[in-house]
Amino acid sequence: MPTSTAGNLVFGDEAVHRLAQQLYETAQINPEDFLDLLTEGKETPLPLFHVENGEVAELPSWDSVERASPERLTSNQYLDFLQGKPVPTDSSLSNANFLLYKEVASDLSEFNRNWQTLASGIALVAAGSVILAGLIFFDRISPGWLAAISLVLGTFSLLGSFRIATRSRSLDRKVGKALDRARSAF
Amino acid sequence: MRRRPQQFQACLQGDQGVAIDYCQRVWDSKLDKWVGIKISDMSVNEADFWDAKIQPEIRRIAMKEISEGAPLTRPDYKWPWGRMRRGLPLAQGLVGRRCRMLTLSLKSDAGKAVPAGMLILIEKYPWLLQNGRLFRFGFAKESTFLWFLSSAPKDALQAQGVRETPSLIRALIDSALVTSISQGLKGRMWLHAAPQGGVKLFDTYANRCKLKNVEPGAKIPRIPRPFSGVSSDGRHFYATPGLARRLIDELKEWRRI
Repeated sequence: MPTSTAGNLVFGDEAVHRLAQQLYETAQINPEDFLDLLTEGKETPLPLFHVENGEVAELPSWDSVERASPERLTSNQYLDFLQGKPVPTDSSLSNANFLLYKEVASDLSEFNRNWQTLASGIALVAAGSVILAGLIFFDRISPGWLAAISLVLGTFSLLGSFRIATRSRSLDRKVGKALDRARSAF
Repeated sequence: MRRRPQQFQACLQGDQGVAIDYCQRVWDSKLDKWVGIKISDMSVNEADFWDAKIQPEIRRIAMKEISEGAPLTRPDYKWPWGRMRRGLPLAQGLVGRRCRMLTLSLKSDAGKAVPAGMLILIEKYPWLLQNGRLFRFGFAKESTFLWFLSSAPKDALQAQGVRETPSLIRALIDSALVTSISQGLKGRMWLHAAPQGGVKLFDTYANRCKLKNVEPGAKIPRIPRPFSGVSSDGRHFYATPGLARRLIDELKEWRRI
């Protein structure tokens, strides 16, 4: 019968199919219900993995055990974890993440400051437009003044929009570079 | 709207998750000294070791309590850690959830890392105190769900050559809170204390761990229909962001070697 291996486990085709079915059924159970089922010792679809020889491997030495990082495991790390392999959690990974956070956090705070300034400018332009509309409505303004004020307000609005767009693109580039550096560290 | 990369969620929310580590030592009040611990990602071998060497002692304690008619203190005496370690992350992956499984180890005389505490978390899970209206409009809050937690009996550890056996419950709960912060969930965490654990387990979470308790009958979310919810049996415990910060700060010294 064809077999597959996963770590120290050995499966046949039929067993693989049954395993998939059991995992699917396990996934359908509400986690709290599942806790109750296991606690009460009731039947669950959780697969009965067969460990070869039934022997327990020797415990690792204290110095060889790597401390886990509280950070979310990357996709590759999680894949290793699912397969029962050791999860690499060396300090370089944490340092890379820390630098990435620091860099992006400072970029974002700069962007926030710029955004606040621009938002204030846009609010002023909007207020000016309302006043202008009022003056036009009550016929208190000459066509020349109207054209001049409209030109100023329009220019401010355009400049503001342009600055927002360029800042966003610049931030995107910075974040992209930071991500590339972090990926190379992973 | 373009979704921001996962890595930036925490700093966008003002959390400096990376600055907080898991505990590296615990205070043994009986011996009046620090005891070094290691918190690592749970390996298959550790789970198998637990089943073979630690679980029999837990089962022995539970059987003794059952035969004497005493209140059960070990609701975990039937938990199959080897199966759980292999199967639960795979099964949860099928419904788009990730598990974080941690082992807390103590050092034996022979220089081995002996598993003394086991923890299974679901990294992102609907928050216990959900605002129904916000939830309906897609602003559901998420939290870390503490699914399984177990600590080894002292006798089992001493049989493995571990002399110093401090209480580990605070360090284990702290790991769940720190994980939540690192996930950008601001420390929101909740759990359900198994009813079989009785008053002792309730007191452990309420008094020793200082977690908040949900009143019996209060509505809590329940997958797969988190919005409709179910009534709590009064054994749900949780930490809000404020409480999590306070509890984590209390163990500041525990994070230093």
